Amino acid sequence: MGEGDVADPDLITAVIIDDHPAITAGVRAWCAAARPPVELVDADGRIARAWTEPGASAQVVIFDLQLGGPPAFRELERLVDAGRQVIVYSQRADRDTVLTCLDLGVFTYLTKAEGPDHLIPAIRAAAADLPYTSPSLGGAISTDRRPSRPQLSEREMETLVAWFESDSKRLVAGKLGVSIKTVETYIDRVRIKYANTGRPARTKAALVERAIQDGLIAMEDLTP
Amino acid sequence: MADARATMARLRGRLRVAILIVSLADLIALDLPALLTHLDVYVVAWPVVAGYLALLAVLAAEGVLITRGRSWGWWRWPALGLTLAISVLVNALIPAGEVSGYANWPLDGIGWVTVVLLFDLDLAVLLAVLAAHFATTFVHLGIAGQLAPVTLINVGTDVVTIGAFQVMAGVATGMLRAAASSAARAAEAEEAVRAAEVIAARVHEDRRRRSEQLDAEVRPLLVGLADGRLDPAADQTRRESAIAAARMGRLFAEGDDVDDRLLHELKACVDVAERRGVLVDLATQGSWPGLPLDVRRGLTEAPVRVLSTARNWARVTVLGTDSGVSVSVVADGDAAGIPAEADGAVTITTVEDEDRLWVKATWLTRT
Repeated sequence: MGEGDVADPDLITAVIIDDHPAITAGVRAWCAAARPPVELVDADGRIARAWTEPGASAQVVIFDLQLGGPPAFRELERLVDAGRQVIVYSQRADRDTVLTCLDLGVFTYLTKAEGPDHLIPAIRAAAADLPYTSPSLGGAISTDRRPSRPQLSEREMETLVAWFESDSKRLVAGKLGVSIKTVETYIDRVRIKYANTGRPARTKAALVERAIQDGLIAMEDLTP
Repeated sequence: MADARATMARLRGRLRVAILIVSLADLIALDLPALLTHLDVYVVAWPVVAGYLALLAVLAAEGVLITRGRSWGWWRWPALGLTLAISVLVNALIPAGEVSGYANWPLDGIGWVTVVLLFDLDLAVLLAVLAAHFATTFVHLGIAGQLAPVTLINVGTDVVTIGAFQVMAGVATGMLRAAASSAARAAEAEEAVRAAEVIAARVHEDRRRRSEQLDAEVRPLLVGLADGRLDPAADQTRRESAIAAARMGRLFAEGDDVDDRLLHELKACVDVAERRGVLVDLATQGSWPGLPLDVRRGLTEAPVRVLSTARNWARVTVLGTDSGVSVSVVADGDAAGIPAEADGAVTITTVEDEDRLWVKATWLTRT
């Protein structure tokens, strides 16, 4: 932040809302080390700073769900309703919390055990409206028992479980005897199916629209 | 001894029936003739008859409660109020001159009804109520100015003879109640002792089993290290020691009383790996209620081996779905000695990929 160069149109800006300075410092270091780097705005643990400049124009919001209290679902909903791409980055990993966030329309959910290998690609994917499913999100989806859940094929389910367990697309591919590209397709299709259910949100619609344009999923796969 | 409570309850039930019979006999055999032969004596006769019938109704209710095995509970208080009101009413309708005679039949009848109503309460309550009941007669005499010694002696003799029986009945119920509660205490104490014995036996058996297993696994290692047959610097010795340490951790964890035994035992293995400097990431999803020991063992055995050989890092996941439970470990370890099956019909799958090893133990609820 604050260097005098001309703004790079490809430079992604993210704002982080987290009340732990160590997390913010770590994420800042990851963003700086990324190639190309990601510009990070520190909201200093205050949600209001995501609504005022420079936080307001950041393309991606990295959101710690618990800012010294119960999960801030209401604030999360407001950000999503304003069309913000929110990555929840939380120490909570329980299924209900993860699925609730997904239903509210967050872009993706990462646990704090998931480091730069997931956070940086997730930020890039969020800026491009491309789905990103972390292993923890995959684990939560694979144990979803709610009646409203989308119908997943057996292959999609297997892939999701293996992704949660191995945290490696290459291992999943090796285990299921398919290509890495196929593994990615299965995982992304599941994410799109979830974007197409529950509470409507602009961010969800954008994800589905982009997926249909890219031929990742067909319209008829989405009609229940 | 556990029957003691039942015995006491039966005894109390019988005493209750006996008191009811005495009360009924008194009301019907003694009081009814007294009432019928003195109808012309009362100032107004019908309230006296109504009072008599009300007392009979109370005893009838007691009969119903006995057959249903129930107590009067809260209803005793309105019934008691009614009974004492009848005591006052009938007294008021007896001319003062007849108070010491048969016309005053409630003197004994009402006393018995109060014994019935206060069956399961403290003796002091019965004494107070009886005193209040007998007092109505004396108050009546006092108001009428009939306090001649002869009259007082007459009524006093009646009160003492009648009251003595009723108080004795109350004392008997109280004693029985005390015996019942001490029997209950004794039975509870005995049950607690018996439960403690069973638990102690089980804990002892558990410890014996575990010490045997430890013996079989750890002793050869320790003996080998002590007599120099095993080289502490050798990779093989180190690996075997790491596996034995993880198993010991799991074995100790098996005895703990925790909600989630599988996770608890797994964490014990993770602890051992972390102490070796391995960075372990443990993630869980779903639920796996109450797995038996052999299934837990089968699920953790292969992961324990992988964790023990991991050099720098490991990812451990536990996933519980409707179809089953799986424990998976990805680590930079080696696949030597990983079996394809384990205890409790658990299947093991292994995938290797350059520097990574992925071992997954799965137990299916349906086969």
